[in-house]
Parts: sequence; structure tokens; C-alpha cells
Amino acid sequence: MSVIEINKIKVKRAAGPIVRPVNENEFFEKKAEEARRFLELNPPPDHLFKKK
Amino acid sequence: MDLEHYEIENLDERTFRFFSIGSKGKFEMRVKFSYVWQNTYNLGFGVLDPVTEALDDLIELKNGDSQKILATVANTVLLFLEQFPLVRVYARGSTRSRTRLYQMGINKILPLLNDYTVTGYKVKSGRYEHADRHGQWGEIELGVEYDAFLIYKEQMYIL
Repeated sequence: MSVIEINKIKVKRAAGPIVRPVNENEFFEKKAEEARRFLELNPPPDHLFKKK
Repeated sequence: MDLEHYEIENLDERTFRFFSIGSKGKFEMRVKFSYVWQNTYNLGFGVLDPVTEALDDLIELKNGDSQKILATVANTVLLFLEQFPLVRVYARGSTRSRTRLYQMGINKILPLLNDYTVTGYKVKSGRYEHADRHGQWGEIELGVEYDAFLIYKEQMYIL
């Protein structure tokens, strides 16, 4: 099993059977859509990302 | 980050899983970063219901390891930002109490996040349920309640 370390955090590639949640796409896309709506209504100002 | 956390497995470049192990048993958790807009990805997090095999983000496991789970989710964010250092991660809890939990976790790890910037969307008092258009983004400060968060690596914005 491969294990890599990124920024001192270890992560390995999943092995064995992986359950695909029955609502995986719907679940995460719903969350993304909520985030999209929130950010469209409340866009972070550019200066937050440029002042460093 | 040295906080106690679970081992993380990656299922693909944007999806991770780990297992909560506590007083109520072992539960699989999934984290996925979904593209939202303008270089920003949403942190999606859910528990895999062992019976229905469906993801759920409203289950209260009470498995006695919430801090460890939180630290593990935070680690997936750092992993994702290491893999994709030019993006931002948006995080907001599924409920107000979950968002508070996120905030507690962020407050705890903030001193350790030297290479990252965390900004928060501050809601005006009593406006959470109708938060849209009633707050503002700013760099996070301890002791202030936020409704949503953006986390990104600092060096990408040095011009």
C-alpha cells in the first residue's frame, strides 16, 4: 500500500473494496451549489487576496 | 499539524476518506472538494450511513471523537491545498452548530497555519438564517462568530 507524506500529513491510497455512496454525486453537488449561491451573493472582496 | 487525527486515504485527487472509531463504533467519513467558482472549491463532508450506504451530514454520531474528526478534516484541507496550491477552499457547516464547531477547530489550529490565510464571513447578530447579504468577509479574528470560511495558501498571492 503506497503511503505518501505531504506537509507532514500522511495519506495513503485506499485499498480494498470502496463503497460508492448511493447519493455521492447528489450529496456533494448539492453542497457545492449551496456554496456557489452563497459566494455569488456574498463575494469575497479582491483585496483579501491581493494585499499580501 | 500535530493534533491527534485519523489516517487519511485518498480515493481520487479530490476525495478522501477516514474512519471515526469511538464509543459507538466505526464509521466511514468522506471529504470531497467540489469546484464552486473562481478557483474556489467547497469542502463537502459527510458520514457514510452503514445501513443505507448514503452520505449524511446531519447525523450526530456522538462517537466521542469530534475533535479528532475535526483535526482530520482540517488535514484533508491542508493536503488539498498542497496538491492544488492555487485554489481556495470554502467551508461552511451544515448547521449553525456545525459551523461553530468548524470555527472552534480553526481557532485551535490557527496558530499552526503560518503558510495559510483564513478569512471569515461575519454575520450581523441574529441574521444567520438569512445570512445572505447581511455580513462581510474579513481576515479571521479570535472571538468573532463567522458563518463561512475561505482558506488558501499565502504565497500564491504575493505579487
